[in-house]
Amino acid sequence: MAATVPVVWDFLGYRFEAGPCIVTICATLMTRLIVSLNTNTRPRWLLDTCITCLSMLVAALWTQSKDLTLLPAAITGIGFGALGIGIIGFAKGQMAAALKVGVKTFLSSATAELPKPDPIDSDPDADLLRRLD
Amino acid sequence: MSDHGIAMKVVTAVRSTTPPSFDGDIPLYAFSLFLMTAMFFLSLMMMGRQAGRIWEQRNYDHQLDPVSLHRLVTMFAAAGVMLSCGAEALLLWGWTPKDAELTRRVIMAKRWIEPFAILCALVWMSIVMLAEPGLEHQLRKAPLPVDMWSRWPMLIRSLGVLALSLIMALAAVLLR
Repeated sequence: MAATVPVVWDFLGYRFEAGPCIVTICATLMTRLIVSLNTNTRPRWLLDTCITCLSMLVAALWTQSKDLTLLPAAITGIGFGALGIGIIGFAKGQMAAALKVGVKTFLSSATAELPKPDPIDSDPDADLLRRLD
Repeated sequence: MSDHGIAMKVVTAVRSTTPPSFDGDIPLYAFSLFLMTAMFFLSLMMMGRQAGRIWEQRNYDHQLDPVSLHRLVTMFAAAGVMLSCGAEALLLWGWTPKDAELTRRVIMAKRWIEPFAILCALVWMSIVMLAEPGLEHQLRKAPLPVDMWSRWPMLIRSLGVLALSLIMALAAVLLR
């Protein structure tokens, strides 16, 4: 009954282990079902569906990229399901930080005059050759 | 110390995809995985619901009203089930020959969590014992039958949790 060899799916050239992947997606869905969608407010089906799909996608990709086993995969799913719409804010923060660093590097390289390194001094091979002389 | 612990030695010696107490019985492992996961999430929902009800009604119901005690008892019972099933689910999901350190940790976590689950049950039973005469006296005052079946749609979410747990357990067993 049990698979002795893990089933691996190939999707767009990426290697998805089927077990952890499905477990992640189900855990995300379950968390969304019992926590985030458990409200008394007017149901917003489109928004809820979109956020659930986004969390499932991010969680599945995370599991794939880290090559997780079952328990870490399930906990990843629960975590991303609990984050819900917070994923967008988190990604925005990451993106803004990366952008800040990028802009800073660009500005400093565009304005500052870089000191030209001496080709002989900086070359390790040349240094060795000189020492050998 | 953790590298030479007894639990670590056992885990590295067994090298099985299921905990050794299952004796290689994969259907039993899947059944256990399904029920423990489902009951963990369902009792989590129940505990959250009761805690939320207590908090919402705190200005309306006195803390020692029969209804508050009933909510408190249900909350502690759910907490006990949640901790117990959660620890077992943690062990079942975390058992993997690939990562002996993780396996050792989940076994230890189960040993540490389960006594606290039993303490929750102790609190629940104590409240029932202490409140019994007063509670029964008041509950007999208006003994009208409770209409339960009009509320069955409330169980749809629970059925969804059960179905998802089943899918997770089958995926873990069949595709790993």
